[in-house]
Amino acid sequence: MSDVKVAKNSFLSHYASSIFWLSRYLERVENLTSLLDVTYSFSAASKNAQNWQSMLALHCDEEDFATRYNVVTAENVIRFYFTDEKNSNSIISALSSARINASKLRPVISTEMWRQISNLHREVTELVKTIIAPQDLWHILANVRRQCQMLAGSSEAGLYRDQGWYFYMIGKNIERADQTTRLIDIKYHLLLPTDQVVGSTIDSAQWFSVLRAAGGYHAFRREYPYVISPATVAGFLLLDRRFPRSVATSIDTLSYAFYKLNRNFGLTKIKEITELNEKLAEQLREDNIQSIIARGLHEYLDNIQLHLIKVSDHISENFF
Amino acid sequence: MNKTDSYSKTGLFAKYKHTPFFCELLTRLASGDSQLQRLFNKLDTMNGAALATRSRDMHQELYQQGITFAVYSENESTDRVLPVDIIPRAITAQEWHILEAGILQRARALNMFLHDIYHEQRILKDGVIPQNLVLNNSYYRKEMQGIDVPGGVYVHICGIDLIRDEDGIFKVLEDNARIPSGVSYVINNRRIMLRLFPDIMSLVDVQSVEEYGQNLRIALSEVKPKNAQDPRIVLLSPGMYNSAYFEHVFLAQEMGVPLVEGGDLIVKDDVVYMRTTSGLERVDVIYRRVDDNFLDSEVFYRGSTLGVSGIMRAYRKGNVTIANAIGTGVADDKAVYAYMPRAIQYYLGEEAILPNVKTFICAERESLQYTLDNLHELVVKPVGESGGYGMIIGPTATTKELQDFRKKLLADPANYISQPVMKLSVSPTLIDEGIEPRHVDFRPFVVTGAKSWVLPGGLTRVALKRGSLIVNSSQGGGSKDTWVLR
Repeated sequence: MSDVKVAKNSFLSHYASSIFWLSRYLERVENLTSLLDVTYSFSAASKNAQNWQSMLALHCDEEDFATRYNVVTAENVIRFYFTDEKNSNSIISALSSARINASKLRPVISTEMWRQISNLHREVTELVKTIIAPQDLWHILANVRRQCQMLAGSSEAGLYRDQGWYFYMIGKNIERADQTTRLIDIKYHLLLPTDQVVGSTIDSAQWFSVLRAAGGYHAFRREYPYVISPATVAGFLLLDRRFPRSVATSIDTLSYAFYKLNRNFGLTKIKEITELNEKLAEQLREDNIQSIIARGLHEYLDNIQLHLIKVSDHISENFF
Repeated sequence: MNKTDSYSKTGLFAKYKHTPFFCELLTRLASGDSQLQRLFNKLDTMNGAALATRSRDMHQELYQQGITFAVYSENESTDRVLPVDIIPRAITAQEWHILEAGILQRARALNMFLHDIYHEQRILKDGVIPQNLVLNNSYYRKEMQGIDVPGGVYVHICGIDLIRDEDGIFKVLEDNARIPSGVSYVINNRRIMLRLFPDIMSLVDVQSVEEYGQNLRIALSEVKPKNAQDPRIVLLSPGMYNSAYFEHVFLAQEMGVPLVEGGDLIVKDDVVYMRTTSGLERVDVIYRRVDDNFLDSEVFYRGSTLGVSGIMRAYRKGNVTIANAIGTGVADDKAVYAYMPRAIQYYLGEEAILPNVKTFICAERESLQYTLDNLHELVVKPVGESGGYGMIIGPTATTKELQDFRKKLLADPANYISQPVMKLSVSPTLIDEGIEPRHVDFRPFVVTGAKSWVLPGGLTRVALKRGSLIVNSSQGGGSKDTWVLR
C-alpha cells in the first residue's frame, strides 16, 4: 500500500552543496558585520587608520582594495566590505551568494528562512546606492546582525535533521574556524606588545575589541577577570571548548557532523577526513597556548587553515 | 434592464453593473442557490476600503514569501506577484458535476488520440483529422512512434482552459497538454483566503484543493516503469531563472520529491540516475517542467543544458517514465483542437460534454477567406503559441494593426485559427476600493495515472483591465480563488 511506504533517505548532491555554501555565506555575513562594527567603534577612539588597514590584511584584501580605492579611510573600507559588489568578500556579495543558494534550496528550507534571507538581501541591496553616514553605521550593522541571528534561530528550530542539517553545520563551522584563525593570526601579530604601547589603555582596548568581534568578551571576562594578555586572548579564541566560536569548538562540531553523516546516513566516505579531523581535535585538546606560541603561532594557525581547506575539498569531491 | 440587476444591492454592490455579460455571481442568484445567496449577501455588506487594505496586505505577504513569477524584459528580470483578486469565484455542485464529466472525457480522448497518432494512426487513415495537420505539426515527435508508454498515459497533467459565454455555457477554449502551469496558484490562493477570509469561507461548503500534490504523486507512481518497485520520482525544472520556478519548488514540496535540474541527472547504460551524496541513485519517474525541445541534447535541441543527454534512450527502453510524455504538444495545437469534438466522437462514441468554441482553421481555404473577410470581428491566434502572444482581437484592434496582421495571416495561413470574439463571463472584482465586473476564464486540472482525477477547483484568471479579454499573467491578468461548492 502506498500510504505505508517510507520516503527514501538519499539527499541530492546539489542540495548538500547549496546548504553547505548557504551556511558558509551566512556565517561570513555575521562575521563581517561584527568585525566592521568593532573596527568602527574602536577606530573612533584611536583616530588612526591602522585598524581599517588590519581588516584588509585579515582577509588578504589589500591588493583588491587598492584597485578601486585611493586611500584607506573608514568610509572606503566600510563600503568595500559592506556594499561593494565587486568585492567577493563583502557583505552584499556574501548575501547575494547566500540568496542564490537559498533559492536552489527552497524545497528543503522553510518559507520563513527563505523570506528572511531574501529580505536581508533586499535591505542591503538598497544600501548599495547610498553612502552610509558613519553615525548610521552602528544601527545598520545591528540590524544586519539581528537578522543573521534570527536566521540562525530559524535554522536551529526549523531545519529538518536530515543530511542537510549536518552539511549546514559543516559549512558554518568551517567558515567560523577560518574566520577565527584569521582573526587571531592578524591581531596577535599586529597587536604584539611593542615598547611604546605595552600596558597602555589602548592596548587592552584593542584586545577587548578583538574579543568583541568574536563575540567572546563577556565570557573571557568571567574566565580571566584579572589578566589580559595577547596569549590569554589567543588561547581563549583558539582552545576554549566552552566558547562557541573557538577554533576547538568548531573542529569538535565538525567531528560530530562527520560522525552523524557516517553513522546515520551511511556516508562512509567521510571516514577518511574524520580521522584527520579527530587528530586535530586531539592536538587542540592537548596543547596549551604558551607552547603553541613558543613553537610558532602563525605556523600553527596556518596548519589549521590548511586542514580546513582539505576538509572543504574532501567534502566537495565526495558529496557534491 | 436585466432582471438580475434588480437584486437588493445596497452596499458594496450598489453600483455594480454586469450586463450584457453573464455574471458568475449575480446572474446565478436567480437559480436560488442558497450558498451563492449567502456569499452575495455577505460580500454586499463589506466595506471596499477595508477590502482594499486586506488585499494590499495579502500582496505584500505573497511577495515576501516569494510566491512570484519572473517577467523578462530587455535583459532584466523582475519578480512579480500574480495579483490575486480577493472576491472568490464560486462553482455550484451541479455545474461541477457537468464540468468534471466533461474534463474526464476530454482527458481520455486526448490520451487515446496521442496513443493513436504515435501508433496505428487510425484517426488519420479514417480521415477524421487531416494527416498533414498532425504529421507535419512541429510538435509531432517522430521519435515517439511505436513507443509504448506505461498505462498508455501521455498527458498525466492536463489543464483545460474553459470560458463561459453569455448564456452561461462552459466551452473549451484550449487544451494545455504540454506543461500546464498555474496549479500552485490554485492551492496558494486557497491558503490565503482561508487566512484572510475565515468569515466568508465559513458561510459556504467548499471542496478542498489540498490533495493535489499527494494525488499527483500517487498517479505518477501508478505509471512507473514495469521493473521499478518503489519508484523514485523527481521534478525536473529548468532552474531558478525559469518564470515558473516558484511553482516547481511548490510542487516538489507538495509531492515530497527532489527538485532536480539537468545537471543533477545522468544517463548510464540507458538508465537515468540522480547524483546524491551517497552516489548515483536510479530515477524512475520524471515530472518534467522542461520543454520537449530542451529535454535531450542527443535528440532534440543540441545545445540544451536544461535536460538530460541520453534520456530518450532510457525512455525508449521503458526505463523511465516522463510526465507529460514527449510529443503531447500536437494535441494542444489550436488547429488540432478544432477537431477534438470529432476525436471524442471517434474514440469514445460520445458527444463532447463540453463544447468547443466555434473555430475556423485558416489552413482551410474557405475558413481563411471567412477569416479575412471578418477580421475585425474575430480573434485570430497562432496555433502553437501560448501566453496570449501573437494574437489579435479584431474589434479592439486599430486599422493599422488589422492591416499588418492580414499580411502575416496571408504569409502563413496554416499557422492561424480564428474564433468569434467570445463574450466571456464576468466576475465581481475589487478595483481600487469598489467592485467592478471583470472578464474571467477557468483552468481546471486533471491528473491521470491508473485513472483520472479532476482537482475540485482550478485557476480562475481575471483580466484586470476594464473591458479586456486577455487574462494571461504576462499581460495584466490576475487570478481568483475558485470555490467548488458541495
